[in-house]
Amino acid sequence: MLPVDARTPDRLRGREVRSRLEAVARARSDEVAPAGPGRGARPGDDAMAAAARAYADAYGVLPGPEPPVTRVRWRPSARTALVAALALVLVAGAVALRAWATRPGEPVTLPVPVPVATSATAHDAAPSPPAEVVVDVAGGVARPGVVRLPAGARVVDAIAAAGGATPDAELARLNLARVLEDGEQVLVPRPGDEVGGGSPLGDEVGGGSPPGAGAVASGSVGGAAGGLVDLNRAGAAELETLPGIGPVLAERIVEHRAEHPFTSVDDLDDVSGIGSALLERLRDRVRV
Amino acid sequence: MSAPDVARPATDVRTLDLRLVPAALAAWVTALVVVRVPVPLAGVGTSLAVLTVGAVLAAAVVLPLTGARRTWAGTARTSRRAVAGLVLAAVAAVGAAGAAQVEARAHGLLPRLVAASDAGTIVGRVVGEPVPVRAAWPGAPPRVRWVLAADRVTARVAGAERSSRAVGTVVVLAPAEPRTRTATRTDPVTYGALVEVAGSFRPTGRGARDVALLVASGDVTLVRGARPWDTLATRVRDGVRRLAGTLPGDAGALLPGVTVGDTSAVPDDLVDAMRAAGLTHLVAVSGAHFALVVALVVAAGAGVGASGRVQAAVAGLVTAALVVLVHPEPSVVRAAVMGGVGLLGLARGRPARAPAALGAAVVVLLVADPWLAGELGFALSVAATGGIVLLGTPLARRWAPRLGRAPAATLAAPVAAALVCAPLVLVVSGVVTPWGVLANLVAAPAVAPATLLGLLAALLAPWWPAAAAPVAWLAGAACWWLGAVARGAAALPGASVPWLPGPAGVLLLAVLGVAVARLLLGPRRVSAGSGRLGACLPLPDRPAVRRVVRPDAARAAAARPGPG
Repeated sequence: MLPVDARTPDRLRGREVRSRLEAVARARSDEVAPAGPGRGARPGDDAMAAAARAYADAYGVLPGPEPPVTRVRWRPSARTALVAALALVLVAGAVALRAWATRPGEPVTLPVPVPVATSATAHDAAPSPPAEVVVDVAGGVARPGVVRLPAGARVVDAIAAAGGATPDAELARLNLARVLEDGEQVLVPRPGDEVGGGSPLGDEVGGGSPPGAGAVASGSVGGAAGGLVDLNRAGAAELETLPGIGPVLAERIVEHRAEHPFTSVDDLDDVSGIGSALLERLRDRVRV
Repeated sequence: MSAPDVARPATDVRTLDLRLVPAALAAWVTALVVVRVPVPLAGVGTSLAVLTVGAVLAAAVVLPLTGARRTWAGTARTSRRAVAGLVLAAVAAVGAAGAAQVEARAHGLLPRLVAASDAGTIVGRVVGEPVPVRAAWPGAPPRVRWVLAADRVTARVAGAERSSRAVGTVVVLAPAEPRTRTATRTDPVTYGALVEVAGSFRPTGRGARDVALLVASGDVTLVRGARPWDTLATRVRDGVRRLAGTLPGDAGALLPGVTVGDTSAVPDDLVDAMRAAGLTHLVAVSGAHFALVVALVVAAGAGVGASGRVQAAVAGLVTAALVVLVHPEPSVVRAAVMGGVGLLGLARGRPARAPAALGAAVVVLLVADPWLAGELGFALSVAATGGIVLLGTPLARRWAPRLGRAPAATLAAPVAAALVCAPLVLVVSGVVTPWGVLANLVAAPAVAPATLLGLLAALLAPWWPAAAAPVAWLAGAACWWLGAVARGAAALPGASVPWLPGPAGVLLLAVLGVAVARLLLGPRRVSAGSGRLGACLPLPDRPAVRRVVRPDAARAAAARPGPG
């Protein structure tokens, strides 16, 4: 397929062909105008390519000269650098601005939804204390009835608003300094009135007397203590009564809370050996 | 041997454009620093100041070189100062953009909850397929890991419900099979849906991409469904999974991975085998996926005579669609970019442009996402692409005369990638997989059919199941081959060789790789005064051996008595 002499060494042949090509190129470059794809090509380039094409057409494949020299470009021109730097700064600025624009703001406090008021929770759920309190003053006062007072008023103010205590009122049995609750009844005792089971502090008991904070707390303890194990207080023995908790895990819980007291039931998950499945089983049986 | 393309223009031959390499390296280091080192003052003011100072410095370094000739034309000269200016600009850009992103994550309620390991509720978009977590100890409750792009977080702090927006991704560890529960039905968590999850937050490591780890405690509530394109992608992926279910053994396990990057069905032993055989990149979505598909589209475009612009536009659209299909996770976006760069180098015959494109891609990716810098996947991706572009192209050119262009390119890509990536793989696994190159070569013929036929089956499945099944079987056969090669290579003696540990081992392997590369490329020939001619004629390197031998062989054949 090729007019190649087997005796000719490869390298020698390559050189020979190249010199022949160069001769052809020189001859061609004289007659062929250096038109066509310019791109800074020397006049000989087009002719060179044409000569190579002609040779390849005639003989198939050219014998190989050395592979072309690799030219490494490290340095950009100042123009390229400027344009590239400008583009980069623009892109980076856009990214930075977007990050800044979408960054989270300060946490806001969500309005607590007011639950259906029951006598037990109405006090807790009130988002802010009302501007005034309305109380019913009864018993040993000059004008028994409903009075309106500014919020924060005390029992003594309520009695004054109801025209003052009657001479026979036994004010010593009342805590005159107590802050009034909205909607309560202040019953000023007179001799012979037997209210509140004789307790010296519990005598201004009305129909809707709200329980104090202490009462709520003790009530919840009383109601729940039967079923729930307090993670922060229960001893190891009590913890072992829980399903899935043996002596080892109970000990780990005790060790863990010595360093990190539990703030929620979810914190149980931090104790090594308690995974989400066990946590789900324990969730209804423990409290913090 | 057909006539080679002798008349290729001289300009695309052997100019190695490494102008952006220093800037890319500087950008990489900067991104690492920004992500890993906590800077207390990193605010937007700081980042903008960094950007401005960097820009001014860059300008100050670059501009004076115009010197006396303060004209636009005068800036065409190359210089070392321009390199420095470009490096400074890259550092400033990555530093500023990175600092702003890192700083944004320090705002709001989420970082406080994470710091205190508190409980809370998060609303976010699902941006990662659920992946089963390997049991921490035998009998551990099964868990599934998925990723949320945080949108809003709510928690009870000091007795009050507080809420704020949130940025960043949160890894959710949930009991198996996370499901959203609405009033009427329960659904599996689908990609792209907006969901609400409660649980307790845990910190992630320094420099980690994810802001927090959320240990879910309870149900997932669906806030809003997935966007239409994500729903479509989920439908196609489900189709692939269903089709794979009809295929036996490894074929069924690998098909979803090879086509859409869904590795949930790949058994652990096959994962280990693929790692030992150096074939892991086939089941993750890598640059090769995108390169294959885009190459097919471009070839089809050229076949029907579409113009270059139309081809480019269609290729871009197809890439975007593929990104949506395999889910736009950071690794996928990175793979798409790298695939495009690799394609530019290998298939389009523009090796001169490819290193520049790779450098630009690295810088821009790091500006947009500095966390990539610390990820091994990114390093592997860049190394493989760089290897294919810088080493694979000359290898392919060298082998092309004997093998033909396409087979040479198929062969050159895995060899180059393996040589360059071996030291990085050593860093992770601590072993060298000497059969990796061979396994890749043996597996190579099946990669394109597996991916392309698998995708075709995936696209057919929801609309024309009858046609999808046979296509899936063909793709499954290719997948079976991949699995068989992986298991075979892993079972060979010396599949995982322990190597010198530490940096010394990495260095040794790198030096070894360079030596092998030099060996494969042959002796470096310096042309004596005939560079221009050589540049004009990118000819086969050693055709003479064949040509010299051939007449002899013909003579010998003639001399031999015929078989008849």
